[in-house]
Amino acid sequence: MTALLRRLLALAITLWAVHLATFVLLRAAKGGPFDEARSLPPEVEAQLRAEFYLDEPLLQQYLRAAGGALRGDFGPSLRYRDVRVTEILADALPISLGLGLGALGLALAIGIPAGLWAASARRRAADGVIRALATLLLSVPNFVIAGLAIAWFSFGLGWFPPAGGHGWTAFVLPCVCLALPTAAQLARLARSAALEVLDGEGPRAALARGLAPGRVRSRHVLKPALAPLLAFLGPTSAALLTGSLVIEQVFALPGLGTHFVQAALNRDYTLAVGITVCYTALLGTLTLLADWAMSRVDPRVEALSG
Amino acid sequence: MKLGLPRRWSTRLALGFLLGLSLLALIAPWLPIADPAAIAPNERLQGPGWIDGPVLGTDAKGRDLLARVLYGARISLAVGLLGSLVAILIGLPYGALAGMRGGRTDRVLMRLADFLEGIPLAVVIVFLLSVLQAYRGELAEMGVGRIHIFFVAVGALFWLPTARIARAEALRLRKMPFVEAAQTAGLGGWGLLRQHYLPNLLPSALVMLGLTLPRVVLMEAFLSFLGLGVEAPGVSWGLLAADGLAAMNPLVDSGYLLGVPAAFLALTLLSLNVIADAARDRLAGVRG
Repeated sequence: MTALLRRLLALAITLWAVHLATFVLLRAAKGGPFDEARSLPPEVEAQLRAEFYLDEPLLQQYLRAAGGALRGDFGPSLRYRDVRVTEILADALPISLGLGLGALGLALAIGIPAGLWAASARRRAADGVIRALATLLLSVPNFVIAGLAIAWFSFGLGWFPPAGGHGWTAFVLPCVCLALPTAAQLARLARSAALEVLDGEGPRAALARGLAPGRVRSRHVLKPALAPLLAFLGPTSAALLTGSLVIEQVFALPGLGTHFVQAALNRDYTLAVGITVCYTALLGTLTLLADWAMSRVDPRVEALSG
Repeated sequence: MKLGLPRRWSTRLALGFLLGLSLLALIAPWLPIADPAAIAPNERLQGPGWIDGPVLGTDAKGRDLLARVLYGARISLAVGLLGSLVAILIGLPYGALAGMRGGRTDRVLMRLADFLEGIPLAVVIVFLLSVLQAYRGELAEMGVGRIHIFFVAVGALFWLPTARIARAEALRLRKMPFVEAAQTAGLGGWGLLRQHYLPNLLPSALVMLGLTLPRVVLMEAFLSFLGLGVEAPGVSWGLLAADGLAAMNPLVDSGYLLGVPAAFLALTLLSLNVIADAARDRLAGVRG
């Protein structure tokens, strides 16, 4: 229990640090979204600044921002008039979460069986093909995969919308394009993890004791091979997150990634802070879940569940 | 660790491709190709013509795609190389210090690294680039262009893995008899670092370079694609791919606008990944 508490505390500190760092960065930034298109009359600008509390002393601004963030309120968006950042987050989060979890599930469903298959066919044709495919997929940026997918499935076959759209069909291509590089990464990891177990003494000892090969495969190869993979769920989710910035943009899905890139381009700082904190929380939660699962599977790992 | 010609033919092929491409990119200004920025309204969207006309076609503004891809290679490869060097310049001393000192220094430094791992660094870097946009005037006066900031930012993204490799190597070196002997003989921390750690860490720096390069090149493409990296009139493969994707249209056959830069990017990344795998195997060989 204490281990879990310690991890939660670490996550809280990380979130606070990210919020503080982004706050400092954006206050250090000269100007803002108001001074771009045309210069405003001084009175109007003063009123705008007052509206966003930019005229207060810095410490007071920070306390206001931190207090708001604690309540899950990141203030008003600087770019979209009369919309609060929290409202944008509430609209965008389900889209990004659906896309990300769908891609994660798909990547696991493709990558792990492929990796295990390659390991069991070591040095034979299937192994070579899977490894070559994985290296190739890792080398094609996901926006290129997206372009090919749009050309074939949207323009050619007309099965899915090329961008935007409603319902589940709008999510199929983005999920696949986001999942494929991650699946390739997972296949490589699963292959090397399985090979490490196969080369060890565990399976041979089990076979020597007279266990059926099928049982050896499931208990003495599969389980110990998959446990270390859980440790990669954290970095994997970070990679998916980076990929989703691009994929959401390509397919015009109004998720966190699209909003974040737009906020960065438009210098909508409050929105950018909100999304950065949101991303950090997502990443921290997924890493924590992965570590918890790992402590359940692998007794050598310090238990998080107590 | 011996550094000879790689044994596998795939690694040799990859190395050859990269060297050839780098050479072409390097001498691009002296090659008999069109000006990559010359706009020709009459020659818009000409498809690749292998025998006559533009070899790889022209884009929506009539600019020659071959020239643009080669000039893009200059930027993409330069960002990849310099970004990786930045990653190593930060990561190597950091990891070496942690491994060399051990004990409390090691714990503190590695705790900090774990903490940074919990942050979506790509997102923070995008944020940082966006904030620095406001200072482009001042920075330009100091002779710092957007591209320089970009080198550092992309490199800063990938220093953590290099720090971990350097730490592991330094921990191994710490137990070596010659290091212990030098320590017993009274060599101080700075001398140890300069005389024993850094020279012995250099081979693994090459491994780090191999592992970091493909990630940096891919990240450059990502960021430029999003409009947050290299910007016009500069050209990079990410930017060209973004143009190509934007020009994609079911009515006009303009797929080559995405296909050509994508093929260059993918082949380069494939070569880099093949080399990275070889580097990783060497690292495992050294450790094991």
